[in-house]
Amino acid sequence: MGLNLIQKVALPIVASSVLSALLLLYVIPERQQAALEESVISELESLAAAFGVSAHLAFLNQDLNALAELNTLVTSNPRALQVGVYIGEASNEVLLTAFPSSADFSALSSQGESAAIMASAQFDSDTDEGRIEILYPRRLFDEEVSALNYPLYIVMGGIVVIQLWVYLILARQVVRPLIKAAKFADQLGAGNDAEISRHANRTDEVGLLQRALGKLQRRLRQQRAENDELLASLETKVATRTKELEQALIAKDSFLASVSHELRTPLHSVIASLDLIEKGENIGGDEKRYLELASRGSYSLMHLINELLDYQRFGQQGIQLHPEPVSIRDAINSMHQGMCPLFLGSSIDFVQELKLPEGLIVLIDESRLNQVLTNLVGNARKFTTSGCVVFRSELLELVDGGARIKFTITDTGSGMAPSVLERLGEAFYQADDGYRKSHEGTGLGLSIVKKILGGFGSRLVVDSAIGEGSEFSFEVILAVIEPPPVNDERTEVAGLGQRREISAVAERAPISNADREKSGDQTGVELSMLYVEDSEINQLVMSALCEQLPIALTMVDSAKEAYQRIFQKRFDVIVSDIQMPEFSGIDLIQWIQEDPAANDGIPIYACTANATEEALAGFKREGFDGVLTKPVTLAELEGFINGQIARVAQLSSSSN
Amino acid sequence: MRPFLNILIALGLLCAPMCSSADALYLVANVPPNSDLSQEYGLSIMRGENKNWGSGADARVALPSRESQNYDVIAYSLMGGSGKAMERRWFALVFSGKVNAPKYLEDDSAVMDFIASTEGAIGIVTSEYDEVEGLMVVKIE
Repeated sequence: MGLNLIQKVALPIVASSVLSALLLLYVIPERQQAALEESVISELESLAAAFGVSAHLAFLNQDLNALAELNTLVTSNPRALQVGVYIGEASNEVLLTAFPSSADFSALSSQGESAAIMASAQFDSDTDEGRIEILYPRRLFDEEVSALNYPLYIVMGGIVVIQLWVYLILARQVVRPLIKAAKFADQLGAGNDAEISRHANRTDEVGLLQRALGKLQRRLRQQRAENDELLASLETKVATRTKELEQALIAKDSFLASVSHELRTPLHSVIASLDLIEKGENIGGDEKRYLELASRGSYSLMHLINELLDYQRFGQQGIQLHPEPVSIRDAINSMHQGMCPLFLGSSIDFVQELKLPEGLIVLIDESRLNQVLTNLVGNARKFTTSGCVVFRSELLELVDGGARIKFTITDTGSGMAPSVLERLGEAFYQADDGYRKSHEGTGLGLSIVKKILGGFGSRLVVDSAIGEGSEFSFEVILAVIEPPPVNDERTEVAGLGQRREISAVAERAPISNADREKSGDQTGVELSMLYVEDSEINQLVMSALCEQLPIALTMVDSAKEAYQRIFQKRFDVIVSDIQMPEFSGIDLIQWIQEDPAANDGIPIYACTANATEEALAGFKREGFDGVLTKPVTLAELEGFINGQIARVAQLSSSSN
Repeated sequence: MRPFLNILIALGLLCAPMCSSADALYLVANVPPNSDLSQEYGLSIMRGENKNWGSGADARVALPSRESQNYDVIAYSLMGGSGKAMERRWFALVFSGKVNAPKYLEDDSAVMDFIASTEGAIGIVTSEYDEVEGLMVVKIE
């Protein structure tokens, strides 16, 4: 049971009070009464004996002096004894005399021991025999006992008062100060600067305690002041270091952006030029082979730059996802389209099995998913020399507002040994020396894929065996923004030597150059495009690229001029470089947005070599509808132009 | 036994006055200063009705002892009873503190000597003595 100190002090005090009360009010009085009665009886018996002797002498020798002296003695006794003399034999005795009066004595004696304490003594002389009887009235005895007990009652009252006094002293002088001291210590412990109790002026132990607490408080104040000072110093240092770090990060980002830009810009010219040369018809033999090598090297360099930038960014900042509502089926289709060029010119089948329902809108960072899938498909393509690569997307289930989707990339490549599988995904690791010799790459691709999947809350599962190909798969659970319609017709199609169930809308990738050449000008629409670029080389590249496409290109070399051209001619789309002398692409879009006459809904795209994630996000925030990342390949530009033509054609048909 | 004894005592008492009727009784007292002796006052002292003289001085009573010839005579004269009865009465008086303890003496001469030597003493004798200095004598009528 948890008693506080006051209760612990009060309990023994109350208990001792009760015990004292019992002792003083019952035990001691009873014992005192018994002792007194015994004493009285003894005294009465002595007196009776003395009277007996005196009576004997009086009757024997006729000497009454002793009797007179006894009378004097008894009369002077404060107990008011009554003494009677009976004469005669015991059976026939007669009261001879008594004092103070015979009548009172007879009345009292007749009531027996209930009314009086009695003692008697016989006497027997030659002439007379008889008995002396002495009575002490009980009433007087009780009064004497009460008088004897008065001091006990006073003592008892005194004890109770003293105990109460002790209790009050303990409560007020000890317990309360201790409680205050405890609260004070609590306040100190909680960091509050409490007021010291007034008990600190006392000279006793409580005062010692309070003074000790006061010292502790002063020490804590001093310590707190020192801590505050130290904290302030540390905060200043931290702020300084943070500022330095922020500046370093800004410098690093700036450096990365600059490196990215400066590497991509010339690469853009190289890749685009090579694409154009490759399209020429007068090239053949060794020249075409050399061009292919140069083109492949350029793409590898671009890929390397991208991977290094991603790896560096993820290593320092971790993966940062920007999920947006996306029609997952459309997105995967689009990604598949983007992957198709990887298989151009090869005998490898690239099969898509799309088992995602139409109308399913999920929340996902589409660009990162595309990066993962493109990387895995690219790897499959890289390590497959014959057969096929199957890209499978499958909705497993819809649960609790989420869609569990599985992506699988299967190839019929050389496969990997278990020892290779163990190290797969390590940065800068490639399968083996043989692979290193025969395949390009930094060894960062799968490492980046794993980091991105970690951001998705997923993990990459690899199943592979030497000579049997490989299967890379992962599952993601994506928040469903809009569920698919309930009816989703399915069918079975064959492929890759085994039966698969795929969606009725499953599509095969375009696998021939002919397919690509069909696209673009199918609508017969020519796209009117304003291209803003200060670099003469890039202007030439873009001009050359656009010659291959149904584009009416207007090229200007400054934002200011572009802004003027907007009012002279209506364009279907504007593509602007960002970094330009005097005014940037950002200035241009701000002018357009702030001028209602210029802002008539024309889509505006940034074309930049600054491919950092922050930069891309920044462009979107500024209002750009999208970004063409330099180097822009012919295929990419073609895809972009086709998309814009389709949009314009749709607008025309809807307006008609 | 007791009734018979009482009858004998009664007869004795009846005979006693007759036996001593020839002798006169005298009150003798050593009267303290500022006090006087009358027959009534002297007898009241002898009966235990007063324990002091008129001046307040203690009275010391001399009574005949059982060996005295005057034991019953004086008792009868004073209280109308036997010597034993007188003795019991004086016992009761002393016991209750109403009087001082009396002095029991064998004969008249002893009484006279006691009275003469004790201031405030009083007693009864049967013979008429020569006048003693300091003592007052009153014949009991």
